[in-house]
Formats: sequence, structure tokens, C-alpha cells
Amino acid sequence: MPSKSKKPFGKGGGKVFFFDSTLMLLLPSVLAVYYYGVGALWRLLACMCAGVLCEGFGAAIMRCPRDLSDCSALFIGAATALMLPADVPFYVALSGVAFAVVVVKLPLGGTESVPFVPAAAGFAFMTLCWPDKVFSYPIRGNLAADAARGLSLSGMLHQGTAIRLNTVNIFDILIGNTPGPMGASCVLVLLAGMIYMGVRYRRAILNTLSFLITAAAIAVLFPRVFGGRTTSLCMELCAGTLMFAALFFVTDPAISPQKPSHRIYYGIFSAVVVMLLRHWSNFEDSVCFGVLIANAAWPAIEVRLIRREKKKKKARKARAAAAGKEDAVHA
Amino acid sequence: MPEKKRAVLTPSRIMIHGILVKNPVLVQVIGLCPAVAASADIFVSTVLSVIVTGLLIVCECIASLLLKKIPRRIRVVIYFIIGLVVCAYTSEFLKTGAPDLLNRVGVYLPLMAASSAVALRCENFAVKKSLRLSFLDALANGLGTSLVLMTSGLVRGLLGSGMIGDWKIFDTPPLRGLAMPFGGFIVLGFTAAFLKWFISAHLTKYDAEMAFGIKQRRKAKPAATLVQTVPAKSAAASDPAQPAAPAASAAAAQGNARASAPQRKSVASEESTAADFYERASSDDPQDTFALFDLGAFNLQEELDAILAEIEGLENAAFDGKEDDDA
Amino acid sequence: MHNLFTLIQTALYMIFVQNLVFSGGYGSSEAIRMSTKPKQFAPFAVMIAFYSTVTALLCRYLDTIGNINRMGAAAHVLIFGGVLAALYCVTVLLLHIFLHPAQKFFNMLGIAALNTMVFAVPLINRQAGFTMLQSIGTGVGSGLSFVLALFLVNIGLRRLENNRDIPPLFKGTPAMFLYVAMLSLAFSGLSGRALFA
Repeated sequence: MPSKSKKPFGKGGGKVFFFDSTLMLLLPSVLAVYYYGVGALWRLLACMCAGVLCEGFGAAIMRCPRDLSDCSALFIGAATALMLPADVPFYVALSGVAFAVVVVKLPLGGTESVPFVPAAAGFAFMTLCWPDKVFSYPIRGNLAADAARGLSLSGMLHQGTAIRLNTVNIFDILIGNTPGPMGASCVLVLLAGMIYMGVRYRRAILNTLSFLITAAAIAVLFPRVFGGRTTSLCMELCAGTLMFAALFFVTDPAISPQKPSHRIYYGIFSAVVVMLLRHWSNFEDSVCFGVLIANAAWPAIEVRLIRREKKKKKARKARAAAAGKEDAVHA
Repeated sequence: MPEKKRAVLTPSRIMIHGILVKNPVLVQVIGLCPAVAASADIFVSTVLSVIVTGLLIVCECIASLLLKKIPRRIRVVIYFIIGLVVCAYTSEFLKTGAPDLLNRVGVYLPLMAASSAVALRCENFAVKKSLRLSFLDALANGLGTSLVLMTSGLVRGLLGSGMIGDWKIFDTPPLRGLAMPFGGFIVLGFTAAFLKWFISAHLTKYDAEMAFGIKQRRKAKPAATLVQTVPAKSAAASDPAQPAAPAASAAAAQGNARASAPQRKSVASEESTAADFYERASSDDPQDTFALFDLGAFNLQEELDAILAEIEGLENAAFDGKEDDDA
Repeated sequence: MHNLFTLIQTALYMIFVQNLVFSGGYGSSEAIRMSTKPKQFAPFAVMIAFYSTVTALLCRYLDTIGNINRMGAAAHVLIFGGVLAALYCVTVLLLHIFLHPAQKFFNMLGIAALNTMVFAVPLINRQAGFTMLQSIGTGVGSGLSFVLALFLVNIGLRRLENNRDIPPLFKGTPAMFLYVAMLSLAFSGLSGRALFA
């Protein structure tokens, strides 16, 4: 190798990060199984197995180095499953996982240097292929094939209808007891994940926080529903996969910058793109598309930030040198 | 550089180059529009393949016979007009013969007139070579494009809708995304990878001529070579990483304004950042900048290498320089 | 004011929602090849925006003439193509007489004028039944969308070039195609379906 590749994780950090992320997914998974029964469990397990198998066979066929021990394949499988409805057909979930691993992760550089978040790309692919299945959420406790479908928070936002407080309780939203993605809609569990992330990765949590604060600000300033700004804030933050993406996608160490200030800018930028897309997109939930666009455009901004900092540093040095000279003259 | 010149152009060599080793779509990255957007259906692929092959043959033959003395800027528009006439004629022909097919091809049929494949092949090959060689080159490149279009049509039709043409092959749920342009790019990416494997495994004779970018990869210049461009005096004047010694500071400060640019270069070699990377790429020697039509065969990787080789690793340094994430 | 709003709205729609390069694949080979030359972005952007706007405007104007409007598809292809070719010839002539630029400049002009994207704009306008103002908006928007595409692909090529972990089989054009596919996928999120296909 002529020169080393960028190693955003540090020594062995990547393995630890995705192991931790997979661990953080455990709690939403348990809750999904509790809410939606054994069907959710099968989907989760199938996706995780598919992730590992795709990585194994795909790497063998494409002749790329394979490292299953970094848990990233497991993470992609579990994250994809948790963003889907609990009774989604198996082929939808599996094709999303296969896309994320075989088309995005393996050929574009593997865990440590893939330029896009694979799980977000997998979800975007599923959205484009089967929008009717990906956004059709079952009502808890009624998983029969012909049962009525529930209207999720993101669906309400998309249609511009606010929550009616007598039908949807704020507490239900917090514990994920509303129609929605099977693992991504339980806000409390995701908040617990954030605390864990904050303890383990003090810098990575900067991405998440700046992302969420910016998204909240945009939700307050430009509400999509008529229920008032507080309702808009509550709905935007809790709807769809926004919080899930804030915790797991915006922090992806292969793409995120390393410097704390840049991390904050990255979070803000991603949030702006995501919220813009939410306002404009034809789809009910377009967070993953926003994440992908932010991934694609971020390096241009980072380069400008670095250049500006360099200029400032140089100016400071020049000032210091001039001051030193003056001191010397006075002495 | 005589050793860099292409080997004798035998017919078989031209054919293999056009179809596989320097495939116009997968290697030279020309004529992507039909391959990406329109080839989701085998019928449409077939129509576009026939048109592109015919157009290449007509244009290259005319270019080789008649257009060698005409300035390049006029030739380009002549190819376009020939393409327009051919496409309009085909469109009328299809309208009477197969109106359904015409509907399916839609806006992509007239767009073939403006296809970069025709203009680039004519400019790169036909106006410099004899009629016979030009004809062969047109045929080979037409077949190469057709091969990609048909493969793409077959794969996308089969996976995207479970159909080949109008025949239902299997009833599995269709991956509708593959029929969209991004599906086209994905299929092209995997086809290119397959072609690369095929050439390195079965056409070992042509292995060295592959232009996917791996074989031609130049080694990165060591950091010291960057400093060579800096005048020795200013580079030696002071090390900007450390404050100048007081005795020399007055002289150094005087020359600061003039020396600052070259100094920056020498710094960049050590603590280079992504910002330098962009700066340098944009202040690159403009020698080759407009020469898109001048290149023997457009090679994306060589182009990139020329810009990027000497600054290799600079962007990495931007990341490496920062402390590791606290795990 | 309303007219300006319509124009800007259509332009924004073409840049972000229906980015011709990513959502339609028009002019993608030119976008990829030109994206390796960041220094030429500005002149190229001006050229391509000029050609797409003026062609859209002229073709839409011609289409208001009853006889031309009633003609068939093939005749329209010839007329629109003729307009583009004539516009290119006129600009080349004017530049040749007044500014005497280098041959390389004309080469770039050729790429900017005679590519699938610029030629697609009047055809799309006619197919979608856009008004005069909307057509101008499409012209401006598609020129700018091309610039956005150049910019994003340029970033991508650099990232891929510096990415040493790409498997050898995918190094080079295969990885580049997949990267552009991801860009196209991301932009499809705004529209959700292929453009006029």
C-alpha cells in the first residue's frame, strides 16, 4: 500500500463502535418484539442473518477483504429491520439489507471508508421500490393481513393533519405505542441509547445533539401542521426515523468529521437537508434520502471549513510574529 | 514517447478494444444517457443499439472520408446534424412500422443525435485514420455499446419487472427501483466490474491495456518533489512551522509577502489538508483542461491521476491529523 | 412578480426535484467527464446555462407558431435540433469574429452546446406542455442542475480516488458508477419516479 487510508475509527475503534451500535439496537428490538409479537422477531433475525450472509458471500464473489467481526453487517441488518413496519413482507426487508451490503458497503470501501451510510441507502432503495409496503404500518395488537392500517406520525405530517390529543397520547408517542416503524418510533428507548452513546462516545454525541436541535428549531419555525408550534416540534422529532437516524446514521464514523466543531456543523447541515427534504419530498418519510444527500455534499463544506481555519491560523501566527518583533524592538 | 504508442492497429485488435478492453460505455464513459435511463427494457435497448451502431458507422465513415480538412468546431455540429437526420428518419420509420415501440423509446431516440459517443469516436479516431479502420472502429464501438445496452436491458428487465420484453419469466416481486436511472448506474457498475474481471482472467494479453484505472495508476510523488517547485531561497529562508529566529526575523518579514505562496506549498507537503487538495486541483496546469476531444481515448482514471497523483494522501491527512475518536 | 415566482419555482424544481442528470440520466457522461476539471466549472456552467435557456426559449417560441405546433414528432426533433445547431454556429461565429478564443475554448463550447441534456430540454418542455415562462425556468434550472451534478460528482471522484479500501475489482469506473448511482438514488427521494420516462 503506497499510503494508508483514512482511519476514522482510530485503533480498532470501528469494531467497537458498531458493536456498541448493535448493542444499542437491542433495546428497541426487545420493545418491537413485545409490541408486535414473534413476527417482528423473525424479521429482525432474518435481516441480521441476511446481512452476515451477504457480507460473507458478497465479499467472496467480489474479492474484497471481509471482516465479519466488526458487527457492521449485523448492525445494517438490524437497523434496516427496525425502520420497517412489523409485518413488512420478508422480501422487502431482505432486499434492502442485500442492497445496503452488496451494492453500497462492499464495493465502496467497506465499513471504514464507505462514503454513504449503507443502512440509509438500503432503506432509500426499499422506499423507491415498494413505497406502499414500507410506509404501511400495522396497528398494535391487530396484525391480521387484512386488518386496518394505522396512520403514523410521519403520515400525519405528510398529510398536514395534527395529532388529535384525545386519540394519540403524548406518552404513547414516547413509548412508541403508535403505528410506525417497529423499532424506530420508541422515543424513550432511543433517548436511553443517546445517553449510552454520550457516555461511550463523547464526540459522536455532538453530531446527534446538533442534528436534533437544528431539526427542532426548523420544526418550530416552519411547522407543517396547524396544531401549533409545540405540536409541530413534538411530531417532527418523534415521527418516522428522524431520531433513529440522528443516533445511528449521523454518527457513522466513516463519514462524520472528527473535529468537535466540524461535528456540530455536520449535524446542523444534515438536519437542514433532512428537514428540507421532509418538507418537499413525495414520500412519507424521507430522512434517509436527506442523510444520503448530506453524505454526498458534506466534504465540500468540510474542505471550506478547513481552509478557513488554516487562514485564521496563519493570520494569528503572523500577528504573533509581528507582536514578537515589536517586543524585540522595545527590549 | 514511442514506447507508449498503441501497438499496430490490426482489425482484431480494434474489435477487441472497441467491444471489451476499451468499451465505450464502461471504460471510456461516453454515451451513458441511453445506457442509464432508457435501457430498462430489452426492446428499447435493441432499438437504441441498432441506432447507435448505425449512427457511428455513418458518422465515422463520413468523418474519415470528407471531414478531415474541416475545423473541429464545425465538424462537431455536422455529426449532430447527421444524427438528427438519422434519428428523424428512424422515428418516422418506427411510426409507421411499430408505433408502440416508438412510444416506449420516447424522448431517448432523438437524444441519440447528441450522443457524445458519436462525436468523441469521430474526433478521436475517424478523422485521423483511414476509411477501413474507421469503419471497423465504428462497428466495434457500436457493438460494445450494444453489448452494454442489451445486458443492461436484460438484467434490469428481469430483476426490475420479472420480464424479458413482453414475456413474463418469473413472478417474484419486482425490484422497481432498478428501472429507474440509479438502477441503470448500479447495473453499469457491476457490469464494469465483471468486464474487468473477465479481461484480467481471460484476455490476459490485453491486461496491460485495461483503462479502468488500476494498471495505469502512477505512484504518488513523494512529498519532497512538491517542494522542488519552491525556489530554494524562499524554502530555506525560514521554517514556518517554527517562529523565525529574532536575528533573521526582519529579513524574513520583509520577504514574507513574496515568499508566502511558495512557503505554503512546502508546508502543504508536511501538514497538508483537504483545502490544499482543492486549491491545488483548481490551480492545476491548464494544459490539458479543454482537451476532451484531443485525447487519444478518454481515460477517466488517467485524467484523475494527472490531477491527483502528486497530492495523494492530502485529504487523508486532513483526517489523520485529528485525534482519534475516544472509543 | 407572479411571473418571476413561476420562473424561479420551475428552475428550483429542475435543480433539486427533477435534477436532469440524476433523475433522468441526461448528459451524465458529460457531467462525469467534465467533473474531473474543477477549474472549468465556472465557464462551463455559464455556457451550458446559456445554451439550455436560449434553446428552450427559442424552441418554445417557435412552437407557438401554429404550423410548427401541428407538425409531428420527427419534424419537431429536426426543428429543435436545427435551432440548437444554429445557435451553436452563431455563437461560434460571433466568438470567432470578436474574441478569437483558443481552439480549446471552442471544444468546451461544443460539449456545452451539443449534449443530450441541452437537447432534451426543449423536447421535455414540449412533452410536458410548459408555458413560455416555465420553459425559460426549465432552461435555467437544468443548466444549474448540471452544475450541481458536476460539483457532487467531482467531490465523489475525489473521495473514491483517496479511498484505498475499495476492492481492486471495483477500483476505477465501477466504483464511480456506483457512487453516481447513490447520488441518483438520493435525488430520487425528492421526485420518487423517473422523469418523463
